Amino acid sequence: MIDFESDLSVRVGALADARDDQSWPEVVARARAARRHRRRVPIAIAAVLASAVVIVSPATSVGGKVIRLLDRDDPPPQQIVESFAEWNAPQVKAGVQPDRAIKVLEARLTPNRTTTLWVAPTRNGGFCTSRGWCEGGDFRYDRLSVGVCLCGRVAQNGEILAGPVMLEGETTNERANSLLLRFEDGESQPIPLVWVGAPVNAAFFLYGVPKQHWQKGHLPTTLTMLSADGDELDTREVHGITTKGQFPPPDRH
Amino acid sequence: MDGTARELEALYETRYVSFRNALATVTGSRESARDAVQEAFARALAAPARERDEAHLAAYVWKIALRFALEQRRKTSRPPSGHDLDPQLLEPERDPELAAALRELPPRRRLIVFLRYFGDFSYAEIAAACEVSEGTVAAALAQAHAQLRAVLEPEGAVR
Repeated sequence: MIDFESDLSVRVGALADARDDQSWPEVVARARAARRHRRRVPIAIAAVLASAVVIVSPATSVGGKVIRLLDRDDPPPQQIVESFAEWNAPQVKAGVQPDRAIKVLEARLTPNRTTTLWVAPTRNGGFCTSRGWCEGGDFRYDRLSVGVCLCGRVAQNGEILAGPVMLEGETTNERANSLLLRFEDGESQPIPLVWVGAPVNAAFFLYGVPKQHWQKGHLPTTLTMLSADGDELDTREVHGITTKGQFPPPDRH
Repeated sequence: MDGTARELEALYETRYVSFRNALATVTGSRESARDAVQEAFARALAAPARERDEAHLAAYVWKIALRFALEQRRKTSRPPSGHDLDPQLLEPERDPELAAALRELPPRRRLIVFLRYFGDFSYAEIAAACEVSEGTVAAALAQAHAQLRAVLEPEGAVR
């Protein structure tokens, strides 16, 4: 992983703009102007805070959502508890509460394979998932977060040699009720969105993309988040499912 | 000039370019990022010393810059939304594979990657800037590395 970090650092660094257009005198001049207008700042901050309250205040709850409530089911299996407990290792200290892990959903990835998403709350009001990420107590993302996992093998030219291929993500948009995945060939697929109640207050999905949709002309195009009334709350393009020939062969100098 | 002001100037001299580059992923342009960084250092300099977070000066300036950048963007073009932090590579065509891989990261995780690799932020600075624990930063970066590695080095990827 260290090598990968170094490679990534070099690769991202190559994209950095090295132009140095700094000007400390300009900063000083702006600071003088800012001091002159300082009396106005508290008003501006108050306005921002007021608008923030509107943004983060919960919208009216819409019925029909699938909601999993913590501490209502049987305790999670020991294997799950131990898995989440790893997030409390000294180098991570996520503050996760493994005993409160809850089974959120089970998704079919291939005809013969399913996976279960577990979520456990953290002491600061956030959560960790069995898919390997945690969010802090201030987590809020009212758009739809979409990740693509090419969980099997992929050739250097981009061809997916083995699945599963998975879409996963979450939202905190309280109107969110379900998802609709659209494909290049005109097909579409509803995907359930499962809410986890307080203190997590986020909705999750996992979807195994069928093999026929790993090919050009059949790829997923967009994932739309819908309210219970059918309103389109957000639409995200689906990127990252690679196909044969997508990546050119490496240069050979 | 007080001690913190001198520290601010030193921070500016050493970190200006990396701040601008990291912020450009949020604002979408080098020019608007420059404006936000200049404004952030100016506001930090104008603030009474007692109001500055001297223990986390880099994170303090970054948060001002980020807030200013988001305010500017809300004023100009974007429709209101619950969360509009969606950092992207400025010139994705220069490394489309990396750009595509980064796009698959959740926005917060993507920002942490940009802070780390464009902004040269330490784990502690990222933690202070994002108001999370260092452990969360470490975990987020580990997750991002694993996710990026699975895409960028797919032959050897194991999830």
